[in-house]
Parts: sequence; C-alpha cells; structure tokens
Amino acid sequence: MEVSLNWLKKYVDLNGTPGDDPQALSQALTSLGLEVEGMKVSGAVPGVVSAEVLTCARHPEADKLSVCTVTDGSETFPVVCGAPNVAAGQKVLFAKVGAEIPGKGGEPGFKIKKAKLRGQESHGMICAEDEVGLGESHEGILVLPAETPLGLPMEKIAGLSDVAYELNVTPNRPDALCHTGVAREIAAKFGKPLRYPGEALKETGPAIAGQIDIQLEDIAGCSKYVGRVINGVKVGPSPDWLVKALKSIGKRSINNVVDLTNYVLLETNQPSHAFDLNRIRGKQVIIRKAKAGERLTTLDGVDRALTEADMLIADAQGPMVLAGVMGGKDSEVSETTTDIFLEVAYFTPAVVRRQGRRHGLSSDSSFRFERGIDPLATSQVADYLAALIALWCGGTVANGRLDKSAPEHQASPRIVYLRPARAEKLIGMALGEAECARRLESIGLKAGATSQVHGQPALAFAIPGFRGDLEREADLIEEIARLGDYNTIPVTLPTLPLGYKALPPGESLSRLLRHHLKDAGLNETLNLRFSSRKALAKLGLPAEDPRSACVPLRNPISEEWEILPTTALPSLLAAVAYNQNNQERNARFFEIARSFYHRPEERSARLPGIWEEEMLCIVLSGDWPDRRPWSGDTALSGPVEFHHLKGLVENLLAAAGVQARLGNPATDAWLHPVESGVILAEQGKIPTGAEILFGSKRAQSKGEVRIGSFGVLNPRVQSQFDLKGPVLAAEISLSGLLAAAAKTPKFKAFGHFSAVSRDLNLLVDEARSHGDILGRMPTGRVSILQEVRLNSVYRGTGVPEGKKALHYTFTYRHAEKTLTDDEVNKAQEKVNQELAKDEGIVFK
Amino acid sequence: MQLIQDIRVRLDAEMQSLQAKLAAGEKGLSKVFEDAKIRYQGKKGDISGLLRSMGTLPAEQRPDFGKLVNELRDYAEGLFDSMQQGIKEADIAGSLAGSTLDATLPGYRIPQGSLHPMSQVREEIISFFQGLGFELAAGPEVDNDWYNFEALNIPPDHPSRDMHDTFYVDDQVVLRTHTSNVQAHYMETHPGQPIRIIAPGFVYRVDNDATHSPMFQQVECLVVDKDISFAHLKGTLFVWARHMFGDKTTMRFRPSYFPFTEPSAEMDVSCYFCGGQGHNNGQPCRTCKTTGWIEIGGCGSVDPNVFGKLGWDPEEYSGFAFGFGIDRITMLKYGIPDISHLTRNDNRFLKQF
Ligand SMILES: [Zn+2]
Repeated sequence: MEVSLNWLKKYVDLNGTPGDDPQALSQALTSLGLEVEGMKVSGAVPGVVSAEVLTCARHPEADKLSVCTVTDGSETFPVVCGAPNVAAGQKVLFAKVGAEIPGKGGEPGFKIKKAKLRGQESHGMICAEDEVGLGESHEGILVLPAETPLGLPMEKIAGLSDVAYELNVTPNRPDALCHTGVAREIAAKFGKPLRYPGEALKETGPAIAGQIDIQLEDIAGCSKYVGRVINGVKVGPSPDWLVKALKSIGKRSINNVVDLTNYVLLETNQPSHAFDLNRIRGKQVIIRKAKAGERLTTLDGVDRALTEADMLIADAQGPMVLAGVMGGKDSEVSETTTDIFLEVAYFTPAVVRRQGRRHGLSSDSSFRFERGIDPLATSQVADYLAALIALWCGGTVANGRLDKSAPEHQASPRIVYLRPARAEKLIGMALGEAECARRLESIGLKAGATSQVHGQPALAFAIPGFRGDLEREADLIEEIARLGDYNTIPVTLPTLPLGYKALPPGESLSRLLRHHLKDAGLNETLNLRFSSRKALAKLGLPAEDPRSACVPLRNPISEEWEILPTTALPSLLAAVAYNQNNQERNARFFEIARSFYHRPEERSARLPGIWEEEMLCIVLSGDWPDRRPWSGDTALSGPVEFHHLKGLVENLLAAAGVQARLGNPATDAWLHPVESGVILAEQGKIPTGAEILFGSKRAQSKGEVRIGSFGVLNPRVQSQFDLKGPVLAAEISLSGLLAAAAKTPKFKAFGHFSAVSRDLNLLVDEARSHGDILGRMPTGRVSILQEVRLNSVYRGTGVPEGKKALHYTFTYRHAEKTLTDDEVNKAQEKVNQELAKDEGIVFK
Repeated sequence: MQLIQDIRVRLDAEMQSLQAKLAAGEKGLSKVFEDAKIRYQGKKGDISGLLRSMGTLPAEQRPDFGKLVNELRDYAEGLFDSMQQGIKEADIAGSLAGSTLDATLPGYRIPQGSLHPMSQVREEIISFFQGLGFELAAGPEVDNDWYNFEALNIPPDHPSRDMHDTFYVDDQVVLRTHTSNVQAHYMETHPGQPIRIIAPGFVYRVDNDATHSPMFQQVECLVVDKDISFAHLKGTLFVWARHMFGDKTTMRFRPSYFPFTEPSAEMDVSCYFCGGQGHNNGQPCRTCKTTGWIEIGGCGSVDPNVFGKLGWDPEEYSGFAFGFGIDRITMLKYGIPDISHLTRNDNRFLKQF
C-alpha cells in the first residue's frame, strides 16, 4: 500500500521531530511494523532552490522575453525568462547553473548552463510546474507563496515535493491501510497529536425518506448498512487538490464523486459506494443473497453468473453490486447523475473474502473489508463523505441518514484488560503501569477502571473500532512492545535447567550414511520433491508396486511436478542425464530422499493417509573413481560395474552396523534381471516403510526382511532416461536399516598361534556361482577353518571354453595350539570330500 | 712375520684410499668397503688365512705369531669400525640425493565426494542448538490443514492464508507451508513438559522464480516453559547469530505478523559482507543492497491461542518460536547467487562443497 508524505502531514505535524526527515521517517515506519518496501521522491530536483525576482524588464531585442535579476538570498543572477507571468517581487523556483532538469514523458532531461540569449547573459532558469515534475502546466512560471524563505532546496519547500512510501501492511493491521491510520502510528512514535479530518455536515436538502428505502436481509454478511442521499450534484472533473492527492499515490482521477469516495477510503479506510439514485429501480436497496440464475455485469465489464452464496446489493429488479467487492455497470455514477445514494457499510470479512475468491476479484474495498474495517465508524464516515460531496460537487445533503444494523453488530468499543505485571514478564523488562498505559493511549486506546484478573491488578482499556485486531491481553502486550521499539527490549538467555538430548536414531543413522558415502567418493544431491506420473512410468513399475500409487497435487506448478514422488530414482536419473549432457559423465550421486506412499486406510480426521519414508538412493555412472590417477595403472580405473556398487553397499551396511545379507538377483522392474541384488536384514519387526514397499510377507528365508535393492539399471529404463554408459542404482529403506542396525560390536578372542593355509583350484561351468560353491563347503563343521578367500576367477589358457577356474585359499588356525600338518590335511580333506560330492566341481 | 706386516700395510693403503674417495664424495663405496671387510675379516679372509697358516709354523714361533695376528685382527676391527659410520652415512646421503621422485605430482587421494551445502548448514545449525540442550524434532511434510494452519491460529478464510501459497492434496491435506507444524505436533504429544526443540525440514509454497523455490528448507525453533519472555527470544537468537555470522554481528527486530506468535517480529542481522556499512571499500554492497542488514527470519512469543488449541494453559506457560530459511543462509554463507543451483544437482556445483 502506498502513502504520501504530504497527505500524512495533513494529520500529523512532524516539524521539529526526527520524522521530518523522509529517510528517518521511513526507518520509523519500519520499526513500527509498517515495513517500507520502497520510497519514491517526487518534486525534488537537485540544484533548484527558492529565489526572488528582484528586477524584471523587457528584453531589448525580443518581445516575449524578459531580462530579470534573481537572488537566492546570497547571490544575484542575471536570467532571461520567457514566461508571460514573471514579475519583480515574485518568489519562484530557480534552477541554478548545473541543475539537471528531468525530461518530460520519457524524453531526456537537460543541464542548466550559462547562456547568452540575444545578447543578454542568463545564468539559470526560472521554472514552470512541468519542468520540475510538479504537474502538467507550462502556462507560466510557478509562483511560490510570498512567505517562502530564500535559498531553500526544492525538497525543503513546504508542500512542493512529496515522498510516496510503499508499505507492506500485514493482514492483522487493516487500520494502517489508510493515511489517518499511518499518521496515527507516526504521531504516537514522535509524541505528536493526531488531527482527524472533519467537515461540517449541513442537511439542507429534502428528507431522505421517500427517496430511498433500505432492506437489510443478509445480516450474516452485512451487520451494518448506512445510506445517505445528496441531491442536485454536478458530476465533473475533480478539484486540483483531489487530483493531486490521488496522483501522489498513483491513483487515477475518474470524476469528483468517485474520487471523493476513493479519497475517503484512502484517508479513513472506510470503503463506500456511490449509486446514481435515479437508476435504483423501485427506490429500494436490498442487501441479500443472490438467486440462482441471476447475473451481473461488474465495472470491469465482465458479465458474471452469480451463485446463491453471493451477497448482493440489489434494487427492486435485480443485482446492482457484488457486495463489498465491485459495483455494477448499470448503477454507476455518470456525467448525467444528479442525485446520489451513498452506501457506507460493514460487511463480514469472511463473506467478502469468499466472494472475491469465487469471482477472482479483488478491489481496494474488498481488500479492506476482508481484513476488517472499523465497525464503529460507518455513520460518521457517511456524514463526512456526504459533506465533502456537497462541498466539492455541489448539491445538498438530504435530511436524515438511513442506518440499518444487525442485532449482533458491534456498536461500542470492546474492553480488554491488561495486567502490567504480565506484560513485563512476557516482554522481559520493567515498564510500569503508567508506561504501559501511555503507550496504548498513544494509539487511541482509552484506559479505564482498574480491577483484578487472575489475582493480578489489571487495567481496562477501551479499544477503538479501527483496531479490531486487539481482542486479548496478548494483543495489548504486543502493542506495548512494538510501540516501545523491539530493539529496546533486553537480550537475555533463558536460564533453563541443563539438559542433553541425543540425536534421534534416524538422524544419527542418516548423518553416518551421508558422511560415509561422501568419504566413499559420492556427491550428495538435493532433488525437488515433486515428480510426475510420466517420469515414474519410465521405471516400468508394475501397477501393483506401491510406488505406482502416487499422491497427485491438486494445484501443481507444472505437469513435471504434479505428484509427490514415491521414489526419488527418476529425479536422480534425470540429474545424471542432465550432467551427462553437460560433459559431466562421472555422476556418482546419493540422496536421502523422502518418498510419499499412499495409505488411504490410515486417513483420519487428523492424519493425511500418506506415509513418508526416508529412502537412501544411490546412482553411479561413468568411471569408478581412480585411486592412483596418474600411475598409468588401468586396472584401478574404468567404468562402474555391479561389484563397485555391491562393495559400496556392503561397506555402508558395515558402517551402519547392520546385520544383513545380500541376495541375488532383485526382482525390481527397474533393475537388470541378473546383475542386481537385494538387501536382506535380520530383524524381528518389519518397519512400516519397508512393509509398504516390499510387502508384509517376509522375503526369502525366515527372519529376513528385504530392505532394499541395488544393481545395474535395466537397459530399458536406461534408454527411457536417455542415459549413456553403465548406470547403477540402489534404493534402501532407512527405517529398514534402522530396525536392523546392530548394537556396539563385542570383542571376540583371537588365537595367538600361527595360521596354516591350503590352496585349492576348482574348475566349474561358467554358470556356477561363487556363492553356490561357497555354500557347498562345510564351513560350520570344520572348527579350525577360519576363512575361505576367493583369490581369483580365471578364464583363458588351460581352462576349457565355457568353464572358469576358481582359486580359493583356506586358512586354518587353532586358538590354543599350533596345528600339525596332519591336522590341517585332515580338515582340508573334509572340505574336499564335501566338494567332491558335486559332480560339477573338478579339482585341478 | 713379514706377511703380517704386508697385510697391515695393504690394509692401511686400501683404507686410506677409501677414505680419500669418501672425502671426494664418490658413490657406491659401501660395496667396496663390505668387500674389503670380507677380504680381511671373513672366514676365508686374509686374517683367517694367517691363523690357519699358523699350524705350518714351528711351535716356538707360534705364540709370537699368534699375538701379532691377534693384534692385526684387533687393529683391522678398529679400523673398519671407525670407518663403518662414515661409509653408511655417505651411502644414505647418496641414496637421498639420488632420488628422482617428482614430489609435485598429485597425491594418491582416496577420492572424496561432497555433502550438499544445505545439509552442511543444516548440520551446523542442529549442532549449535544441540549444544544449548535442544532436542531435534520432526514433523510430516504432508500434513492436515489443522496442524499447518488451524492449530497455529490460522482459521479458514483468514487473510493471513494469503501469505502462504499453499499446495493442496485435497481440502484437508496440504504440503506444509512452514516447519511450524512441528510446533503443533510436538506440543500436542508432549503436554505440560518444558520444550526446547529445533526442527529443520522442507516446506512448500506455490512459488517458482529467481529467488523462490517451490520447495525450500526452514528450521523451526520452539522453547516453552513457565517464565519465557521475548527477551529470551532475543538472547537465544543473539548467540546463534554470532555463532553463524561472526562475533561482531548485531541484530535488529522489526514488528511483523504471524498468527501463531505474539508479539511477532522479523529479525535482521548486520550484513557480514560489509560489516553493516552498506559499502565495501567504497563499492555498494550487493548482499544487503546497501542497507547494511540481512533479513534472516520471523520469530515471536507463542500466541496464547496456539497454547489453547493444543491444550496448554497460556496462563501457566509461555514460549517463543522462530523460523528461518536454511536455503537463504546457505546462499549467504557460500555466496550462491541463484536459488536454482541448490536443486539442479549439477556436478560442477556439488563438487565445490
Ligand atoms: Zn552488506
């Protein structure tokens, strides 16, 4: 909202206060909670000062020019002036040499220089209104009041320049949406009285009775409706002061009647509406709900279908105004209007708000009604506005005022009690009762009787109608704090008992994982938690996958962001594609992202029926990070492959202390059917997130729950995302990890006697897996067997086509003695016998 | 006997020559030295040879011969010992000087990834408040209208809903517009207990331009106890601001409006790029747009209506809450000019932190 400094000064005198400086006033407004978001200075041209014309004579060689001498009080300048109205003795605006005169209507400006006009020296310019941005007139020079002191810079000359402040008024402060309201705040800040506007009302016209009748039907939407009639009005252009006042805050002049209603709105915050009395059919004004099928063409030219929820101002035949929001074309005041019916009403905020929203309309009036105007001021404003119309548009105010009220209309000031001791306690500083009262009275509250509230002394305050937001003691306490300036309140740390709260386990785990993955060479991403069904479909998930049942937004920003993601994989894969397109082929990302699963059966009055699960997502593409970059050792680098990701997963499970097993392959549609795996955790209780995602039936063997999958991205999915090279991905449930996370490791005794090892080379079919062969070894039954290590998988010379050679090393150790060769051989023989039962295994 | 004398002379000459070469800085002398030691002192060396030859001597010469050989052996031992250190030292010096390693080549680093700058700032904030005894709390991102609005004193049709451009799932379910919903959840589930919580989290607004993202991260702080005042809010924010923005930071509070706090305020801190001057070496400061202040977030005392809605007695308890944007603080801290960097996941961005 904009306010004009000159306009504000009508109500408060800032002379001699710090507020006299526009910049200081701006800071004061912000400190009051009326944040200044912008400041526009007009009518202040540097280098232009007040001056006096000392002499003025006709130019010897040009009829239309005068040769003058001008003084700014300290120096005298010769000036040639072309204005017809220049005369000796005038106080004028004088642009000195060097002043930069702004251009008009977008044209470039010019700089005043010493000049010679037809042989006469000219050292400056006497200014016309339009040359210094004060108006349109170029009829002649602007003559200042005779009492204007000399040599004042233009911005210091009273009433000449102006400052428009753009204020950010919070929704709780409708009182500050007008000039008197802002002036009230400033007056309180600088300890000055507030001068309310007024105009004596003369009801010299015919009686209002018989001219119009008001029927207030919709008392829920309108608790007060006041009408006045002004007869014999002449609608025409507004007087200069009015045009200037509206223009100062960027409002256009329409005609004198409409301008005055706008002026009073901007002055007092009270909206009003002027009707052409003679266009009100049946001499009836009815405040009612609309009927089905009714239509209204509003002032913006839109023909609107009304609903039964809409509140109208209607006449005997139909709708005239969408109440509180916008008038209709038919009853508008025009050039031919002679008699005016003036509406000043109090409409219920929520009703106006809803109808504005319904019709996508907002106006200066509806904005104020929505926030709540002064319920006590309607009649007074109606009188004031009627008097102004009679004064400036001619005509006479009809005798009498029509005043309709709903029984529940607030008719007297609200009383709110304040305990000064409570204010001191909640603000945290000593103030005293007198200071509390002084601050509140400075903005129009009236202190009354003292009494007791909750056993504490309290003061009663009468709340003026314009402060509808002050309903409770807390509201008064805020005013006391605000008016004293928050920056004067002490800075004190609370003295609370010492306490310590460990991080919740989920936070600790996710922190651990994030740092672990960072140390493993991955970059943490952050994706917007919006997705689309289209992006999700690229994963090729079956319909029964819980990730297919996504939650759509009712008002998405775009088609790409129309749902809440059930998995962050599409976003991460898109991020990899984005990076690949930017020559960043080694994208190794992770993110602990939130997935939103639809759970309609969980919906209740307070619960949204959506399960939010933290999922650790990993994507790898490009090369695995090279640990010896310039060594030339190619074995250390190369494209990411399944076992890189598997190793990463194994490491992170170890870092998190999770007891889990990896199984092959995963069945997820987005993963490669062979080159993939699942994470199976030992746990008693299945966490909800894992249950939703992977089903309540425990996966694979007893006591194991699937908590995630990983592997090479399915090539079909990869092509959907336009990804190049190998791409691997994993998705792991954080709650699953958390439920499986083990306690602190416990020490296990290790033997001091030396270990003995035996090697074994096995030849098997390509199709046989290491896991399968490992499973055949009687590891649990040979107590001295400590470790079976796979040394190599060999294909090539000496190994037939379609076969592979697996080289294992077996380590034997006894806790209490050194093993003999014989003992070791026996143990190894046991292993060999077991393996020999498998016909597919050949010893080499 | 002459033989012993010859060996001794030869030994002296050899060692003198070695000493001279050592002094001249010749390399590879340790091999020559070790060979010489073996030649004289070894099992098949000259001295052993002398002892073996003793059997061929007449018995009466043997004691003298033996004495002289022993003298020679001791002499040789002493001589070798005295040179040993010098030879070894020269050898090490030679090997040190001979290294051709290019120490300017990059180190073999275990490749490191990065944490998102916003999660680093988030952790820093949590750690700070944990140090003050705060508990980390969380709430849902998709929430009932009641927790996001009504419990926080924002009824339907309230004009302050205009301040929140809300994403709706349906009439009752919204994406939270602020982390203040955590206040509602926490106060509901912890009735009558003193509260000190910090709750960072993502929030959503229908807004997408150069300075706004539809998803951003806020952090909420709530303190409730029996004697909490606005001064305590200022004190808590003050220690935090100095931690975050430096020891010279000053703050400014401006009245504002949030339906769930009263009094409500906006907090600004002095711009730490220009020290609150608005200018840096005569250049206008772009960070604070020459105002000298940076807006940090909203705060205030807990509104009695919030206590009431959540079943607390506002006569008995008071509290304060504040919330600020982690995005904004991250951008300030790292000098990130555009909010869209934070969620674009460009590797060239991520790798910098
Ligand atoms: Zn700055």
